[in-house]
Amino acid sequence: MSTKKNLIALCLAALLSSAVAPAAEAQQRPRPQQIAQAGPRGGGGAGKAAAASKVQANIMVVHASEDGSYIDPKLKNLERHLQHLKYSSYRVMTQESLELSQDSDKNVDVEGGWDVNITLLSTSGDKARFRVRVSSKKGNLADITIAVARGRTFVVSGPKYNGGILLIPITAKF
Amino acid sequence: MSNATEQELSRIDELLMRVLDEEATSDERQELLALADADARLTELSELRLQLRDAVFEWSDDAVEVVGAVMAALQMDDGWDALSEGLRDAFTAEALAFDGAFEGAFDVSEAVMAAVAPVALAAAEEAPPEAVLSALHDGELSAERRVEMARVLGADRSSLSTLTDYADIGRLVREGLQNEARHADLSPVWRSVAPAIGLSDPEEVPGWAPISDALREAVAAASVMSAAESVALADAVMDGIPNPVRDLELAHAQDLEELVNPSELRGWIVRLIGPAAILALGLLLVIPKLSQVPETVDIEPTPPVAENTESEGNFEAMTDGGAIVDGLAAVQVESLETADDVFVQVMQFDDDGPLFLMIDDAEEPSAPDDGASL
Repeated sequence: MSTKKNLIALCLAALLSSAVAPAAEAQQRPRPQQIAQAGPRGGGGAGKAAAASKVQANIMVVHASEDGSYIDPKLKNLERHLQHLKYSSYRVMTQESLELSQDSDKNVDVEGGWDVNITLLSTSGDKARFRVRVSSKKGNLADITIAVARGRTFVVSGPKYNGGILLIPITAKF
Repeated sequence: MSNATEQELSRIDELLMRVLDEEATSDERQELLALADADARLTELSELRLQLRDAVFEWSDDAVEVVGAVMAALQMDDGWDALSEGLRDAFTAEALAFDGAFEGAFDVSEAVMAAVAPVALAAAEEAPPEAVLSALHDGELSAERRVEMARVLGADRSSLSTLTDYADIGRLVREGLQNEARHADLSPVWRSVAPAIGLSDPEEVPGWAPISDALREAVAAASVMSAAESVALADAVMDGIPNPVRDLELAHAQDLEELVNPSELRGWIVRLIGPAAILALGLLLVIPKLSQVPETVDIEPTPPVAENTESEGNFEAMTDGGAIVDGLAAVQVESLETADDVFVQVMQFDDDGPLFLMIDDAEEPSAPDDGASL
């Protein structure tokens, strides 16, 4: 009889020990959103993100307008895609490279009263997940979670500026 | 085996008369013999059946006698019973009154006519008039009258024949009308008739309104698409739009009012996702132990599906066209929240191009602006 009790106790102990580890891993996840968006083995897994290297986010602020015909040489890689826009002039106003580690964030002040805050949520394989918060003097405008493959670019655009518009290309390098 | 029905007896009678008149066809002769063989009353009269066969095929000269015997066996009334009975009675009376040798003929016509007349008169009185037969055929008689008519018609072959004629005439008339109406467009007739009989709306059907309302509601309910159907439709629309017109409005601030307050949103997420996460964790622990399936097989990584707390289906469709690198979207929006009066458009002009997130805060430009947009 005692042998059976010991056997049952051992089974319960093994089950509890296997339950505690994933639960602890889940608690390390920074936000509930990540649980919903990435799933149990998604890119948001804290363990994997911790093992990833830092991510460099190259950010430019570009003034697009119809004033003349010009494209900044720094935008050569985007030139073909910018032709779809109605503007004829693209001038890089600022450019900076932000080094981000997991859960760290950086602010970029943009002409036109906008502020762009970018946070590295995680990396997994050749993808990095960012949280981009755009705000203006009247408050938060948008809160975006976006996954970007290595070397790829996404462009936040919007603030109207000096007869045109500002484009903020963000490229993930890691 | 049973006795022939009234209808079969009528047919036997008809066929017997045709045999006697030498008008019966070979098929009719065979039919007559079959009907006779099927009657229980003739079963035991094997000799009579043989005689009938000989008479039917004209192999004997006593056809009249045989037919009479058959009709007697079948208890069929040939219509002469009343006459023969009257004749018999009159003859017997005269014979009893005549005392002595029977010499020569004597006139019995008056006695016969006196005997026959009441029977014929009674039969004539009992025969229903044609108007009554017509009313019976049209279903215009009362139940009691129909029962009474059934009793009379049982012995009145003429009336039965008349009723049969009525039925044939009705059938022919209906067929003729249907054949003519098939080629005529009668649809305008009702629109002309309806006002003439006081109906303001020719299409109105009294009592139909509740039914049409229920049908309208059912159709409207069925027309609401599910999330999966919405996604499929959005995908189909996106596939049909050529580049570079891949421009979709992502979210409208007025539609996302509940997303403005992040704390409230997180509260809902915790409330909704918490139990699901606990359940998923429990499955992670239990299922592998039960099924002995490796953990990596149980739950695949969440596919790169964009998630929008406002409309997951639409959002997925919008990001589905993202640039593809090694089979995965190069840039993919996973979630998006906006404030009031903010529009966000997600655009990608080339499959390998960058993803544009156009944010319009409806704010006046910081410098003189002519309303620029993408």
